[in-house]
Amino acid sequence: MQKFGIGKYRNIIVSVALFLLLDASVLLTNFYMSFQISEDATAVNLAGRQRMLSQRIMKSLLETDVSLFNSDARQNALDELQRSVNLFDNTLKAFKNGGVTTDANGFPVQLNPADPGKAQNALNAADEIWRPFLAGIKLLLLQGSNIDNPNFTARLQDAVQYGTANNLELLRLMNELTVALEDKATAKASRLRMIQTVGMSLAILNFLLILFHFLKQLKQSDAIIEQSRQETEEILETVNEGLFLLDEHLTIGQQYSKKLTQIFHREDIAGTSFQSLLKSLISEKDMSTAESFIKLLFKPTVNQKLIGELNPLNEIEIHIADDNGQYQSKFLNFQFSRVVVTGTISHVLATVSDITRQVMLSRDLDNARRQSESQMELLSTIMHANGDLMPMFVRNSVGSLEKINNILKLPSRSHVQHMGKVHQIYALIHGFKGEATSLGLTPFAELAHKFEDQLEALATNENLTGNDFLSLTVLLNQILRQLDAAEKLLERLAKLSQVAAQPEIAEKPDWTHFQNLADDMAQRQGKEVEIVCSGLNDYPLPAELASTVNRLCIQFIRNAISHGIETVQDRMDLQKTPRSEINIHFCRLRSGHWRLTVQDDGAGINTEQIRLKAIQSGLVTEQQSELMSQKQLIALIFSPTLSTQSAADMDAGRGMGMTVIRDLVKDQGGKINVATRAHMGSTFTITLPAATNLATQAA
Amino acid sequence: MQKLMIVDDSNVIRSKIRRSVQSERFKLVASASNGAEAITHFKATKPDVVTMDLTMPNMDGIACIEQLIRLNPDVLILVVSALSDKATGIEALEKGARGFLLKPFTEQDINAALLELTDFLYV
Repeated sequence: MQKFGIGKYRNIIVSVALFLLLDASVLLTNFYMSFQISEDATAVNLAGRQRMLSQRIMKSLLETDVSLFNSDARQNALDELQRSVNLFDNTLKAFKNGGVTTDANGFPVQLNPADPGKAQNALNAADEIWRPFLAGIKLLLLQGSNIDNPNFTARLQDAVQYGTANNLELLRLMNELTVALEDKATAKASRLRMIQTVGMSLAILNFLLILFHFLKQLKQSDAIIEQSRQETEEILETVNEGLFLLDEHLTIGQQYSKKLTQIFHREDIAGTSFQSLLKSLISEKDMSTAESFIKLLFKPTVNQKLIGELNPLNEIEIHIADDNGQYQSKFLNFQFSRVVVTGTISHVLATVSDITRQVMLSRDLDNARRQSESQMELLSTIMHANGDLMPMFVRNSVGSLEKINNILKLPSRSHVQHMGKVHQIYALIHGFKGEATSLGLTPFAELAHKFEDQLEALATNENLTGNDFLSLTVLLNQILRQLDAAEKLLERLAKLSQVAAQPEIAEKPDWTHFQNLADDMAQRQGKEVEIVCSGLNDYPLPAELASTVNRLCIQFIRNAISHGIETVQDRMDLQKTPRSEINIHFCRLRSGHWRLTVQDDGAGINTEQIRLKAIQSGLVTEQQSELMSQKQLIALIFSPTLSTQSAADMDAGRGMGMTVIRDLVKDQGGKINVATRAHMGSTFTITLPAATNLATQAA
Repeated sequence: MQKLMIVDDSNVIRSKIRRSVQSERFKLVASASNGAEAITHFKATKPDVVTMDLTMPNMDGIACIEQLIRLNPDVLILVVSALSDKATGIEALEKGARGFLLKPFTEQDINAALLELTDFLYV
């Protein structure tokens, strides 16, 4: 609370006091002077009366003189003389020395001694004449009124005589007194007027000074108010955040920054509610949380420094139409703080900033971080993988993925065509997954598995349309990007190790990854597998052929472990060695053809199970199946939709492994032979044409 | 010296808070692993400051805060919780808690929050 100080108002107070003082002194002077003027007026009147009395005395003397035979008239004249003389004498003395006389109404009147000068001179001269006259009249009056008394007549004659001689002089002197008194009164009146004029002028001057001073101060304070208003406006115009005050009903105050209107693309903000500002921009749940949060700030016991974490609007995404009606997405940050005025929370100050750029930046950083993490993961995967086979894997994979891409681009209208595409893609991606798994490239295997999941969703979709394939493109691109990254990493690694990647002359590849793949899968399934390879390194193999052989082996190993080989427990129950064996043999026939033999000592192919599965998946009818030979039934394992596993996992169950083999062999113009015996195992024999054929195939 | 009670169902969090607080400012008078236990200890030891978890078996934090405030409206309660649902945190403050600290926290975090809570002058 500001203390009331006198300083600011001192000038005005002094001025007003001066004004009052001036007024009062003019009033007092006026009062005093008018009192004096009224006294003067009385004196002038009395002086005039003296003039009249001097003549009345003379008249009374003469009347007495002419009323010698009328005693009543004579007596009246003498009485009149007596009164006039007394009155004249009293008044003259009062004028001269000051004293009391009687006014026209018979009331006593106090007179001050006349001023020295004209009046006093006239009085002195009159006194000189009057004293003998008064003595004579007094002697006359002592004689009574009897005309027979000789003294009386003698005194009368003396008095008449003296009076006649001096009466005019007395009148003149009394007139002089009157004039002198009148002059004095006139002088006083004009002095009073002057005082009044001066006093009033001073008062008006003072008043004008006050007015001027007051107006000046008013103007100054107005200027200060205007300046601060302007400064506030400038701040609100230029500040880079949306600023506004909220009262406890969450109503927005009258003043807010311009930025606020730019953030929300609206002008009518003053006096509206906070809820209406954010209506339809944020969810109702966020809105009600925000309301509760702001109301917490109006609760004095809550410590505002300790509730920042609960602010639901610290990073909120809104979709808002801009001035051109285009919808855009923004991230806003709201901060709220208390405004405390004289000990109570009057408002909450809200600050809104557009943090879209920061959020985007931090997301980009996150993405970059994630990307570099996945690159690191990829790098470590590659470094752990079989170095010789990696370039081959990348090349094969790029080929497969491009094939998938081409299949995706093919026009297809009917459901049958769609399903055909699904199955072709399935075979390709399954092959890719197998290779990735065999090399321990988990990130690729996971992506491929995801791809297979999506394909499966498409395969079970009754109303499949061309558009449904679009989602696959995204994932496909992701895999391609990863492959690209892997390739670049490989190049760098190759440079680092000063060993140029020479996939074309991969003379003696390292095949230990077969054992790794087998161990990995077998462990997951409670099995033990030994891979025995022979002949694979006996010939300098063209890269293309090496790749095909590698991919075939991988699929055979996967298939054998998933479907053929029994668990350790089962094998022990069957009196077999707990560790099963997969024999891979590669050789060149005299005809120039290549032969790959993969033999396992597992359970063999269960044709009955195939038959049931084929019926179940609608591949054949029951009647058809009963007519089929063992050989025909076994051939069914190469059809895309058959898997004897009931659920798909990372290792098997999509029924695609054998299809991949079939397609690979078919692509190379080769043949497959299958031999199987229950509990003894299966042998797959692949015959591939000579290298010349392969070269044309690869082109 | 203010009397402190720690309420949290995690033994790890309880001992972390116990280790963190400045011994010259706070005297630990009770630890509770659920709301019901907290009420009993509160009545017996009358703490000035309470750190309160929200999700606990046998009476959750919100209900516990309500009861503690009824027993002593001046008790300073700091909610220490990991919840992602801000509305629940706000509800705790509406019920009378005075501050909120998000888990996970560092020793400095809990210390600063407790000092802020106890030094805070109410308007």
